[in-house]
Amino acid sequence: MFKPHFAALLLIALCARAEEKTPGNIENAARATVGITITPKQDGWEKSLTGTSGDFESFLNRKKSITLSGFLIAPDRVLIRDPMLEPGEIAEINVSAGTQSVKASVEAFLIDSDGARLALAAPLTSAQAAPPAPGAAPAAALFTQKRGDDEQIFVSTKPFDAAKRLFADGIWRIDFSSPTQIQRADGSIFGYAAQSSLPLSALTPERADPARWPGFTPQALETRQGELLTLARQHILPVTFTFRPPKDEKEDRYSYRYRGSSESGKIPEDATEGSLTGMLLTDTRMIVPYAFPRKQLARLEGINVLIGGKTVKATYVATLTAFEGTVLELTEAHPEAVLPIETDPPADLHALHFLVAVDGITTGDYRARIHRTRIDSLSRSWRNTLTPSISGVSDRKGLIFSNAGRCRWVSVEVKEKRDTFGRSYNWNSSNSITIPAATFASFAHPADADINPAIQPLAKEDEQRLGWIGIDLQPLDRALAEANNVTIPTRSGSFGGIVSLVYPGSPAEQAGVEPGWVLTRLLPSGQTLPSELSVEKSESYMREFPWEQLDEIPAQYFDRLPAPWPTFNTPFRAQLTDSLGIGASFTAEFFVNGTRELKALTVAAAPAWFGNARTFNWKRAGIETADLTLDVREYLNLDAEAPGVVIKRIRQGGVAAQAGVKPYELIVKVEGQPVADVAAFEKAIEGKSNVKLTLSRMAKERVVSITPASEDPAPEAEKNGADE
Amino acid sequence: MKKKSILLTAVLLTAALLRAEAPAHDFRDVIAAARAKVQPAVLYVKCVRDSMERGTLHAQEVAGSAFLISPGGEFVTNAHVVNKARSVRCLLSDGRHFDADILGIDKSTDLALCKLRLPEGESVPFARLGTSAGLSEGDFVIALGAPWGMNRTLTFGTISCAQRYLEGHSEYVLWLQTDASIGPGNSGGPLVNTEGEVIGVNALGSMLPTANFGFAIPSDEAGLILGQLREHGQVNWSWCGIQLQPLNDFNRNTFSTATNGVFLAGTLPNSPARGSDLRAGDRIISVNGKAVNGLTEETLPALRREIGLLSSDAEIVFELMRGDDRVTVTLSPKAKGAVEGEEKAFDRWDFTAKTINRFETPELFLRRETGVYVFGVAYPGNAQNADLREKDIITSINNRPIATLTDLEAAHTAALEKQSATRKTLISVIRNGRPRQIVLDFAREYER
Repeated sequence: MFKPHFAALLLIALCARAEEKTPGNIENAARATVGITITPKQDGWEKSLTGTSGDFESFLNRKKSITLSGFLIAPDRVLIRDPMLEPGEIAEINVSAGTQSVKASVEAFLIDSDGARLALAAPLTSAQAAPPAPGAAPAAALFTQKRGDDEQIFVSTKPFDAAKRLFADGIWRIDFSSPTQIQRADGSIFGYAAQSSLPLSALTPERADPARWPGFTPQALETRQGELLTLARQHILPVTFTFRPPKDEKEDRYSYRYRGSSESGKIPEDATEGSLTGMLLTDTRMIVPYAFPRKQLARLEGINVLIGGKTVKATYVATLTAFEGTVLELTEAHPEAVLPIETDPPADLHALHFLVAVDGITTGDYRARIHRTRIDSLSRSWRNTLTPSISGVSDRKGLIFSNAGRCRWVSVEVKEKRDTFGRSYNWNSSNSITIPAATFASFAHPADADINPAIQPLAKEDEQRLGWIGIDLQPLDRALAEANNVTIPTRSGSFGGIVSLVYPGSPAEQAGVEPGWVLTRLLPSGQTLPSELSVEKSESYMREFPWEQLDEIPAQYFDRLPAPWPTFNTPFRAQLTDSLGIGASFTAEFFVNGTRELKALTVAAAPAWFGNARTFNWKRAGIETADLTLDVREYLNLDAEAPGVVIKRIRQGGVAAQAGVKPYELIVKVEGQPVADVAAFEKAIEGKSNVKLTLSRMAKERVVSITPASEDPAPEAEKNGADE
Repeated sequence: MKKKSILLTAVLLTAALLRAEAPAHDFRDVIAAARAKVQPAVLYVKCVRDSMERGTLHAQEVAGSAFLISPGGEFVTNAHVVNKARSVRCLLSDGRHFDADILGIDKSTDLALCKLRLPEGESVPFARLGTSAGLSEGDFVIALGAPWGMNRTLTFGTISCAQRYLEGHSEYVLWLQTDASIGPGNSGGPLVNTEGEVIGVNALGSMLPTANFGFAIPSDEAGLILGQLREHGQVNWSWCGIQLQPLNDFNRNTFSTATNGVFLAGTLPNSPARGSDLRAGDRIISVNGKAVNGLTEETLPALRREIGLLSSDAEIVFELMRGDDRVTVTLSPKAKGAVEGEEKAFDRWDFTAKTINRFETPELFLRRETGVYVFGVAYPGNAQNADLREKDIITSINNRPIATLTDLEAAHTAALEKQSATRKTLISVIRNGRPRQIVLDFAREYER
């Protein structure tokens, strides 16, 4: 299986010659060099597929043989880098030198450094074991190996100069990969290292002897993983959220639906129940690392947390903006379930850590797995915290525990900063990062700046409430920017919108905003950089409503007929609602005839619109009516006092449909008396066996006589074609 | 082309068969006799009219039919054949052809009265208008005219329905429905009874593939309108702005126990009726003392016609039932006036504009009672590039308000004058009820 390679030996010699000036003896390192081939198990692929990140390509990669290099540290012991395979995944290990090849098994997965010790089935005589020789530090050179794809082994060396390479923290940083042999200047072996950061304190004969390094036997590792998984499950708690069913949104069928903040889509937005996991960080405060879209959280009914087999109720506190997280408050204290957190930095980066990932959640329980992992490096990044770069697992989302069983890092989703405002789509908006557990825990009591006030549970009637400032906007383009003298401030109309309408009594009107002004940017309070306003063209799909053909449209198509008036729920208003929230204040930048004008505005609750207007469903006549809201009045050129209700839905085959009543007509009078709203309409028709309704279609009126069915009808029968 | 020639051959063959050995008193004699009386008076009409539908002023050729009613050259055709015609040319069956003048047009009833420019002393054959009052379903009729431009065509059928109400097409007149084939080009031609009298003016067909029906304006109503056209050059309809609804309306599943009168469905905005005491739901039982009966929808055109033909100078007295109360309402009607807007083309902008008219564009009238809107957008053209769309109401140009075609014309002229300074016009429009701005860049000149 493993053939000798003379070329490899030659390369060793060449390297040695090139590095003639290096202290130490490369021959000594080369003679102790062995090649290792690890064959993973070929069965159990289902386990591998579901156990890892689950993508087939990574499964195939794992199934390839792994080739490594190592040092023979005793005649039957080899030091290698940790191959990062679970013990159960290893089928066979072969260690070879020259023409000789022997089988081996893992004696220990090292705890404090990134290595493993192999025990050989028979001594390997082709190589020369190089155990540490007694004697004094300091050492003179480091030798490391690298194995190429065609099974060549390169041995390279670096001079070891304590004075030059010592960092302030007393840790050596060396560029070699594990493992590394440390020689004295005379070529004798001082010891080994299995990490790229080498504390000076390791340069003692004891710490440099790999035979003494603590490790887990494969069996002990599995036992330890099992223990830690049990521990983790006690602190990663299943949380079940329940929601009201969403309201039907017929009027929005033809408009863009604003996508909420979450892209991971763990829970469908119209779901009525969803289970996730969260961590208790104080006796009562917990964070679920997930942010619900505003519309979904508005429907929140209840939260249950499962702690030690017991269901504990929780209440919603806030949704974080710092990262995707929902803060909850338990109704009772559970100190025993608080997540143990490691605040001290790791003694050695490469020490054994365990990543706990939750795969799937069913009500009250979940499936989790644990992987041993090693930290490659730490860097200061998100909010100046030390975030690790980890190896050994393809799916890096989860909680990372130290071998001592304390949580050190938590992975969370962070939303990318946006510099535009008003878009309905927000591509690749989040990004997974791993933050220190202590930092994560500090958000259990978040500062105001770190929460999104827009995301709140709402009463059913307020669920579809929108925020507004009371303007309609027309998107700017190059020509309009020029005509409005805003070419420079809007980069030739690449952002911004013309105020086409200012609604009476709205915040914009009170602030003195006028039609024709150009809105360019918004600066929410607390934010340092303004967002450029992006106005979407929302009318491209909107054709003229077929008023003239309304009588010819068969009843079965009524439900597909989009409302004649433009949707009130524009991306701009949706984002005012979702990102800023009702009550939030901001500064708006306008241009009036080319002159900049700043206005302080507050997002107000918009008045009812066609989509969330009060309705009355007159089932016996088969019509659903809605209040005349401002968007409908604007379209029909009706003043605020004009009476009437608008027909929102018609049941085909119903009494009203037979009477020729059409969708989006108005009922202006009942028995000759004007009706102000749906409540008045309901009262006016109550208990009547026959009513005369005055209908209005655009300006034309007519009277229909309705004899309501004697009882509420069964679900409607299918009606095909009028003339069959 | 090939298809057309096959059709023609078939027509000739049938004609040959009909002529062969006709026995005496055969029904074919009846048809032939009727035809012989009217066919010489049938005209094949070709007009060149101004059209602005496609965003520019361009000439459009329209073909139709007509029939002469006097030896001096008076003839009847449809309003939609000769409307906006620059020239009218007519071909007689005997091969003579003359230009013609329009004496009067009434768009509301789709009738027009014209006259051939006959040389001094020359006369033409003419047809006699019969009465349509006695017609009943099953009566044999022939239609004469030029369907698809094929003149001297005769089609034959029966009266399928003598009183047809067509929603949206029956303001003042009920229709004669016939299964004699009526195609495009038959418009204005006569529908003739077996006596050889004109009993209808063919005006509407159906383009549906299996539909075998055409519609004609009954001769009695046509005669009434023609008299007005001859006298005034137009019909002086008066207008109250009332909308009538029958007592029994099957299509709307609405029935009344009342046996007389007609419902007032509603009044139109800014109309004499809207300002009066008339209310939707009132039951009108008499107009100027004359009892009205609006039991079914078929009765409505005659009612509307009678009220419409009352003088707009005199008050109209409506007697009505409101619940159990008898109420009298008096109102002064207005002259109905134009039923369509005026048009104008704006060459360099590449669109045509039209004035808002309450009868033609009620949905625009709802938003602006006086104003102009984009009628046609030329393709390719500057307006089209700027995404100006049909039915956009133009409210201002370069921030100067626009209410009339004259305003628009002045703005167009001004824009062209200062063309060296800027070649862009900022237009504010109302589209679908919402205001918006449009920048019309007219730097480019499109050749037409």
